[in-house]
Amino acid sequence: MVVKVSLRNVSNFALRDVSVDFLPGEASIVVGPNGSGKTTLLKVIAGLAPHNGDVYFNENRVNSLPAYKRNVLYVPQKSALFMHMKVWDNVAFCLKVRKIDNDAAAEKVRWIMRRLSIEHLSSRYPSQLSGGEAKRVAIARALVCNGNPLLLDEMESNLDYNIRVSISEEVLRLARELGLTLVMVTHDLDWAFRKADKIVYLWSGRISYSGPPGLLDPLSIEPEALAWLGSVLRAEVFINDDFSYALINGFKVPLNQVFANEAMSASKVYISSRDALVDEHGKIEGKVLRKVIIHGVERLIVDIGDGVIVAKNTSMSINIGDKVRIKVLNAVPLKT
Amino acid sequence: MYPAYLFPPFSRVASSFMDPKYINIVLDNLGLTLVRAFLGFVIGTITGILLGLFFVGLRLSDYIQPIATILFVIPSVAWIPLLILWVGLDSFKLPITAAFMCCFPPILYGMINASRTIDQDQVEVAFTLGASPWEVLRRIVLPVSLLKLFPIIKTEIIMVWKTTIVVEMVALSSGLGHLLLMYSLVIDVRHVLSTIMVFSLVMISIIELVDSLEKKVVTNWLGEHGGKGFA
Repeated sequence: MVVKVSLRNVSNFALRDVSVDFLPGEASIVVGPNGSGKTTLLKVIAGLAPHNGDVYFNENRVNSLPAYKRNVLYVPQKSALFMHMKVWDNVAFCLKVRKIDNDAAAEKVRWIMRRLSIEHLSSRYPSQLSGGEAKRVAIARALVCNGNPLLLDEMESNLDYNIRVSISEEVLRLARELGLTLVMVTHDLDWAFRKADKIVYLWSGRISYSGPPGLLDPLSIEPEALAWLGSVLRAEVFINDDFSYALINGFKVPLNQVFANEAMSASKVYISSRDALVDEHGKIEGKVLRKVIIHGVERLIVDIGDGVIVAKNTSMSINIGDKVRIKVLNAVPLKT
Repeated sequence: MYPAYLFPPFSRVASSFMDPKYINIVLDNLGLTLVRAFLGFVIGTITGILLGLFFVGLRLSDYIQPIATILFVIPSVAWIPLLILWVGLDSFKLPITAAFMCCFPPILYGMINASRTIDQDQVEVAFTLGASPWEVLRRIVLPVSLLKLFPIIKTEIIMVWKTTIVVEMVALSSGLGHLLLMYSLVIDVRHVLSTIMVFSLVMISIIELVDSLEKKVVTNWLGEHGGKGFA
């Protein structure tokens, strides 16, 4: 299903002039700072946020369809399980309200619970689940419905990193297997840049970039937005058993270990603004193009010749045009 | 020091329950009081819950809440003089209406407030799962609100009981309240106290019954843990 969103604004002005398409089989990952409109975008598609503009599912305009008739699969940030129902009844909820035959419903519920490894939880109540289990149940409750697209809001911050990554990977696999159009919101920029077929970057309620991660041109983004996001640049990537790295301006930058094994053919890397620091012992040298302050921390947009890097500056007084040295802690290899 | 006719010993009060004549009188009047209180309570509670759901479903709860609050804070016995004028001294209409006026406003108020505290994410998810507004009311709002309404319901049972007895004392010629008044007019303190004991015993039994019902419902809906983390 092709989902097309074309908005002038939403009622709370969390989004303005947004136009974006989500394609079937494509993992579209929405990123942006708090309050940039990520959740609102999902709610507009789900029919939960009043808006001025149009939403199309394939060629059908669905503006007038209420949420309960849109047949989308929505997993909110908090799992929002129904606390007065057992896990089984939570998962079977949409089949019950659609009056699906009991045997067929039970078979579907068993299938999705097996796929998400939550069969053993079926007779528990939500308050007896861990955060990761609750998230799996919420995903199962959505996926059992045979809908499309799958809208997944960010995982709760209290979830362990490894659990978050493993659930997210599983969702990606399932979405591909079921041929779903996936729109996923995350705060994990490294994971998003590595896994996304399409990045949708929201900044102050507008789309700052929408496209494959590898095609992001940092200098086409407004400086404040770039300073939050970080940068994408060309780099040679070397995978070794002991040390995998990207060669940037002739210097080795370690690859994010989570993705190092998947990075065989990467030719571009993403470096978040969190992982690049101005440091007099840094090996990469560049010229400061812009200075931006975000949340009280100065971030420099630095031209290193092969591209730009956004680096945090917490110590030195630096002016535009100055030469600085940068230490990069971590690079994420992008899909080619 | 104290005259026995004003302060009879407990043994003498308790011995009233061995007197078949007294027992018969009490049971006759207790039956009437229970029926009056029960009918008023049931009608008031069901009306409060249904109207509350109706207003919540139509998103009118913001407009209704001030009215519900005003009705809620009026002492139920303050309605009695008006109700006497409006429904007369009918031995059923009057106490049932008074019992209704006692429990309907708090239940309506509680229902509106309970449904307001329901996690909006749960409601939104229910919609995306295909639940119509009616299904959301029935499957999410109603059970969650009822669980939160139980403490109010328990309080209102006691209030309805008290109100019914007051109505019987001031306006009717039957029921436990009337019986109590009659005994006090003839300064039969022994039977006044034994009748007060009947009030308490009946109320304690009803509270125990509702407690066990609440436990059963909460266990059914939320499991043995009783809704730990229930939002």
